Order: sequence, then structure tokens, then C-alpha cells
Amino acid sequence: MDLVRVLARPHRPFLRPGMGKLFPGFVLFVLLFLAPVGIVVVYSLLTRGTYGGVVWRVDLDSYARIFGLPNEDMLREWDFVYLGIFAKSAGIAAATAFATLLAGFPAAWYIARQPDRRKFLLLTLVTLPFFANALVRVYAWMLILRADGLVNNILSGLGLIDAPLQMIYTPGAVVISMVYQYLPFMVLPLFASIEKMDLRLIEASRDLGAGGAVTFRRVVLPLAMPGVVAGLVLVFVPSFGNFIAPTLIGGSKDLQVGPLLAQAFLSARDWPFGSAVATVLSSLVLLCLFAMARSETRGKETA
Amino acid sequence: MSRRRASLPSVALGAHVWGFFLFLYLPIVMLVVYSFNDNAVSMMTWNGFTFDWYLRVLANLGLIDRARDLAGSDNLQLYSDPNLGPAAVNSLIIALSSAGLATVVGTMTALGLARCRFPGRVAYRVALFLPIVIPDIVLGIALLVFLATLGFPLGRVSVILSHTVFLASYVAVVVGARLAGMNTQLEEASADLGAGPWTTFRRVTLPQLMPGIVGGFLLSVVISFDDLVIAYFTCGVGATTLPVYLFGAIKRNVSPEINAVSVLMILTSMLVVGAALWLRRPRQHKTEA
Amino acid sequence: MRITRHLTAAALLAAALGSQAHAEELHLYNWTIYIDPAVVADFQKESGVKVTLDNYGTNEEMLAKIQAGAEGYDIVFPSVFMQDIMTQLGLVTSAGLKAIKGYENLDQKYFLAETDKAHDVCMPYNWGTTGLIYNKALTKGYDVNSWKIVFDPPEALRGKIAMLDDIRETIGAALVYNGFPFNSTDPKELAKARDTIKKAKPYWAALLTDGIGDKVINGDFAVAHWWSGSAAQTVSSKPDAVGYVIPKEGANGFQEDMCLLAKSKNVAAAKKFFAYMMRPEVAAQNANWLHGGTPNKAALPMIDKGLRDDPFLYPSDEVRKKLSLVKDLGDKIRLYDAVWTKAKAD
Repeated sequence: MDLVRVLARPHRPFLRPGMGKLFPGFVLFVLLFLAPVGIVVVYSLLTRGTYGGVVWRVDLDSYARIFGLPNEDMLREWDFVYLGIFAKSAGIAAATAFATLLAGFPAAWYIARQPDRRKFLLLTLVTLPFFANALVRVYAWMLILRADGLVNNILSGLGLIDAPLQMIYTPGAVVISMVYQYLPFMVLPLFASIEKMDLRLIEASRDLGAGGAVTFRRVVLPLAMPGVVAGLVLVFVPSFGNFIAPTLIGGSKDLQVGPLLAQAFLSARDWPFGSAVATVLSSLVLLCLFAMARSETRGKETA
Repeated sequence: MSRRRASLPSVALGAHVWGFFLFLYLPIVMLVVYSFNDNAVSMMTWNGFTFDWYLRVLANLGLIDRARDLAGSDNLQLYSDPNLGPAAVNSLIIALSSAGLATVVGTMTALGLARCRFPGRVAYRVALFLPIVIPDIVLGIALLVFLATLGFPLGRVSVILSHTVFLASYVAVVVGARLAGMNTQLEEASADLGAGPWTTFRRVTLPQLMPGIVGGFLLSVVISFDDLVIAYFTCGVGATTLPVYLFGAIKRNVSPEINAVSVLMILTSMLVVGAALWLRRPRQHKTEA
Repeated sequence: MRITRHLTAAALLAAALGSQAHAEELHLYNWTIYIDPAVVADFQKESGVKVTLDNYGTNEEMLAKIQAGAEGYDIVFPSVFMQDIMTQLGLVTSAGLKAIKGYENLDQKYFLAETDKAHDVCMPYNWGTTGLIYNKALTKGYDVNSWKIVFDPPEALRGKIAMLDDIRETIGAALVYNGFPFNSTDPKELAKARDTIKKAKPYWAALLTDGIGDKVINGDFAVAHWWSGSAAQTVSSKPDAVGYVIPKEGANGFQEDMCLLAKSKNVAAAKKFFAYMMRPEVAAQNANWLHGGTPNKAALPMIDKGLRDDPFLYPSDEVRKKLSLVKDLGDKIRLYDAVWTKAKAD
């Protein structure tokens, strides 16, 4: 019953008895998040075991491999293949982020200008598909893009094409399915910053004789910037390490970071290398988020 | 004040918004429509309407009697999968347990963070976001490696614990947002009127928090139900979840039954989310983002 | 009393969840679609053992899970080389096959594992080849009987080829195409194989392991690298549209064995299952469903005629000589990993 009493202490600022409430969450966080992630970082510095697992001997070769350094023992010359994989994944994720921005900005703009009830309805409509299973949403795009899929069926039905277009198993297919996946991550922050925007500034800009394009570039965009940055990062991050889309709709042909990670653990049985890839990937992701947080605090006071 | 004087040509804007929502909903509508397509060979060529795939799913789930209800159906001879039923049961057990655990733990964390100051509070609040933002494949593999190192048996329990970690963070965020918008005067009034701390918590704090807690719980159920990657790496004996099952099924692509399963999964998630959204109907929705 | 009610509910829930533990159980861990569901169902009915079945996609995925502590599985179905690894790691234990009724039905030539010289550890389960499945209409006029068609495809087939997303199979095929051994660890030979793959990759539509058959039928792919059993299932559904060949240069002849895990807690039930699978009629039913090769010689007369007479499914001794078996390469797998990553990334 002590626990109950601890839980129920009333609000008394600057006192610490209520901290008991934090205990279960903290244990969980340390045991099942910090410890696993910590072990991955440690393993990335060790030697691989022949059949998975690690040998407890420090070996930095996993990082050397990622960064393309030569290693005579492994018959390896300068080779930036892994950096290339990171770069390609980053490129695909960036394309996804900018495509969501293009698709999302006008929609967020429109929604922010609606009466309150409608606003809520439209935002709900934007979010709802996000909760359909992620796998199912990629699957839907497989059905749309395959050789005998919806798009090809329609195009050939209209007589526009003779042979089916190759759409599935291309980087474009990966991008479009991820745009679909993460649109809400773009629209919601955009909406938040557009809604806060003072429309009188736009009117003032127009009154002063600025054209639409100039007003957009000089007034609207800077005001919407926090939302734009947040949206770009929130879409970029999950796209970068994505596993499902490149595996199912990308045809595994162009290796991306997510599948590379799975390959290291599940087919090369190289835990240290996989751990090193995971460590680099996570660091990059955290860096992006950190940059976003910085730009937000610099931007204005936060809610 | 804002009289709409669109600075973008409003026709183009309207068209774009229509296109935007079409893009969002067309794939789902297509999936629903074609899940009734009576064509076992090429799924995307319309060949008439059938309930067969749903009947087969129900039969595989053990909800209807295969022999009786499928009699006379042309599509009977296709592969039937005994794994679907157990996978659905696993997913439900895992989603409900991990969401339940996460709701308790996450709510406690949110209360602790909101109601007491201590050094490192801000750092901990930020750290709680980590399980949400780290790529799921990294978390999945880290958990696999960790459990392997400990020799912890892989099974339902390992998936439940793995899910609980990041779901607790979601709940802490959702409940924390609710707490932030709540005034403490009621609690103080209750205390002034002589109510004990437990009574105050139960009668005053909890009811006010309830929408946040229930919303967090429902959100957690959906996220757990949705997760493929972490379950893929941490599931073990008899613990294959619906998404893990579906991932295998989609890769091999054997039957239009997948469409029916997909639609049923979407429906389940949508119902839960619909309930969550309804609970959080806007009173002051401007704070939502 | 509210608390009493909660406790009762909790007890009921625990009882409901725990009650499954009473009947005899057996937990199988097998490749996706690699056993006839009817065989499992019949076994359950006859023996009263409750069977669960989980699936994996690659040997390594299964190994990682078992190593990671996926305790509770009783029987796994590794490829022969993986059986050797698992035996050496102490993950697989002898099933004591010789003492099981029905052992005499097995053809001794299928005991291939180097760690099982006594032919007593794992039961040969199913064998086949990795060759090419092709769309007859699209490949009309081309020679599909050589690896050349995927590594140096004619203009018309470019972009309509799928290879297996499997490190050993695809590199192995490239090695064989160049006239090298399937299990080569010679860096020069592997470099040649890598260049072959890099040159051919732009002509490939995808690297997959599953769901290939439908896409060959519907014309997504004209030629695809695939396992004979899965290919034969597709061929039998559309014999006019698709076919399967073993390329003339040679190919991988794979085999999976059925193994008892060292940590199995249901050894008695597992042995019942081994005995059940050794029955000729069961082995034949399963092989017919898998369109695979049965190592059960007593089952041969019951194998579908169409299967047994197909020279690419039950190959002659002459073709059989050109088949290789995937071997465990130990740490040399790193060379393969480097080749594979390089070939896939560029």
C-alpha cells in the first residue's frame, strides 16, 4: 500500500517524493532501451564470431569498412561502397521529404484557412490513413504499381500504352510509397505554423506592391519555416532507415541502409558490422533531430 | 477577422486539395474494392463480386465451419493457411497487454515528470523521445541482440516487453500534453476541502486525465497492432503476429485472401483510432499538432 | 468485494492462458510454405499432439533466432550446411533416427551432412534444385537452358529478369556460369562473379525470394532464378504458360533436413512426428504437395507421375553430377558478403 500512498502525494512543487512514479518507467527505459542500444554500441567495437555473436576482442574494422578505409588483412582497398549506400538512402529519403512538402504545403494551407469544425474534420481525414497498417499501405502500392496493377490496367485500358510500364521495383516506387506513408508527418507541423501565421502581414506585403511569388518567398515561407523544417525532418528520419518499403516495393535491388542492417545480422552473421551500421544510422538520425530542435528554439518561443 | 482572400489562385488550390485527398484514400478504397474481386489468378483484373476471400479468412480464423460454409465455392482449392488464426490471437494479446502496461507506466511517468522537479528532469523528458524516434529496425535488432546476450527466451513475452518500451513513451507524451493543459487549482481545492491525496487523485486528477489516458491506450493498441519490424526480430515460439504473418504472405503473394486480411486489419485499426479521436473531440484543438 | 472480483477475473484469465499447456505439444519452425498443412492437420488428429508452426525466410534468420534464445521450438528444417553449423554449435541433437520405426524407408544416399556420418541425427526431408523458371511466350526463340540468359540477356528480355535475393544462390550461379565451383572461396573467382553480377544487374528487374511464380505467369518477369519445388507448383498450375529448367552449366542441388533441437522439451512428441514423416504415404503426400524430391525410397511409387517423370524435378544421374551442394564457408562468408554488398549497391 506504500506504493499507493507514494503515487497519490499531491502536487507540492520543489519536493521530490512524487518521483516514485517515475520508477517503473525508468527501469523499463534503462533495461529495455538504454541497455540494448548500449550493447549494440559496444558490439560494434568487437570482433565477429563465425556463426553470429561476437568475440570479446576490440576491433575497429567495422567502422573502417563503413568509412571505406583499406585493410590489407581483409584484402580490402579504398572502397566507399557503404558510404554510397548511406548516401543513396539519404537521397531517397530527401526526395521523399521534398515530395511530401510539395504535396503537403498547399493542403496544409487550405486546411488552416477553414472554419474550426471543418479544420478538425480535415485534419482527422489526413491522419486517419496513417493508422492503417504500414505494411498494408505498402502492399496497396504494390497492387497499384505492378505490371498487371491498377495504373497499368487503366493506361492500357485507355489504349495509352502497349506494354506495361515498369514502375514497381524502382526507386520511384519506394519514394511514392513512403510519401504516402509519411504525409501526415508533414501536414501536421505545416498546419500548426501556417495556422499561427498573421494574415495581415501577407496583406501588407501585397499592399506594398509585392507580387504573389515575392510575398510567398519573403513573407509566407519564412513564417512557415519552423513547420517546413519540422516536417522535412519528421519525414526524412523514418524514410532514411526504412525497411519495409525498399524490401517489398524496391525489389531489394538497390541496397538501402535498413535492409543492409538486416542483411548484416540475418545473412552475413556479422553482428559487429551490423551494430556499427546501426550506430552510425542512429547517430545521423539523432543529429537531424537535434538540428531541428535547435532551429525551433532559435526560431521563436516554443509552445 | 480573416476574410479569405486567397493569395494562391483558389481554383488550383482546390484542385490540389482534391488530388491530395484522392491520393490519400484511393489506395485504401482500391484495396477494399478488389478484396471482393472474384479472380484468384490475377487479382487486379475485375471478374465479378465475391465474398469468398472473407469467408476463407473467417474459416481460417476458425469462426465459421469451413466444410459447410464454403461448400459450392469455386475458390476452395487454394492454399489454406492454418497460421492466420494464431497470428490474429497473438497480435490481440500482444497489443492489449503491451498497451495496458505502457498506459500504466507511461501515465505514471507523465505524472512524475509534471508534478515534481529534480535535476535532469528536462534531459529525461527528452530522452523519453528516443524510443519513438530511433529507427524501428535499430531498436528491433538491438532488442534481439540484447535478449540473445541475456539468454531471455523469445516468445510473446519478449514482444510484449519490447513494445511496452516505446509505447510507454507515446503514452507519456500524450498524457503529459493533457497534464500540461490542466489546471492544478481543482486539486488544491480538493485538498483544501479535506480530501486525502488518494481521494484527490482518484476523484479529481484521474477523471480530468482520463481522455488522455484512454487516448494513449488506444493509440498504443494501434501502434502495437501495426508494428512489423520490432515483432519480426523479437518474436519467438508461437508468437508470430499478424503483421509478421502478413509480411511473409505478401512476399510470397499466394492468394487474394491477403486483400481480405488487409481490409479487416485496416478496419480494426480505424475503429480503434476513430474511438480515440472521438474521445479527444476538439474543445481547444488549436493546441493539437 | 471489488478486489475479490478482480482477483477472480485475473485467475480466470491466467487459467485461460495457461490451460493450453496441458495437451502434448510440438513446435515446428519451418520455411514459409514448406510443409503440407494437411499433413500437419492429420498428424494432430491422429496423435492428439497440438502442433504450432512458425516460419522463417532464410537459414540465417532461423539460426539467429535459435541462437538468440527462441527456446521452445522442437523441430527445425535447416539446409544441410546449416545442419552442420547447428550441430557443431550444439543447437541440434541426434533424433536417434535408427531407433524410429520407418527408418528403413529412407534412402541412405541422402544423408549428406558431414556431422552425421552415422546417419542418425537429422532426417533428410526434401531436396530439389535451383534453376530457372521462364514464361514460354516471352522467351520464345531464346535458349533458356543456360545461365547466359540471366547474366547476358538478349535485348528483348532485359528488365524482365528476377534473381534470388540470396547471397549464396546468386553468387553461386554467377560462379558456375563462369565455370568455377559453386562453393569457391578463391578471391579472383569471386571477383569475376562479382563483375558478372554487376554487369547483369541493370538488366534485372528485382532480387526476390518469394512470390516469383505469379509474376512469371503475368509477365512481370520472363525468366527468374528459383527453387524447383516452388517453380514446379507454378508450372503445374499453368503448364502451357511456364516451364522450369536446370541450366546446362550446372546448378545448386539443395536439401533440407528435419532436425531435433537440443533444447526441445517435447522429445517424445517430436519422435512421434519423425516416425509419422517417415511413413511412405505421408512422405509421398508431402512431396507431391511440395513438388519436391523425396528422400523416402518407399514413397517413390506414390509420387505423382508428372513429377517423377520430369527430368528437371527428378533429374537423371548425369544431370545430378553437375549439381553442387551449398557448403558452410566459416569466416570466408565475409568474402561473399563483400561481393554481394558491392554488387547490390552499385
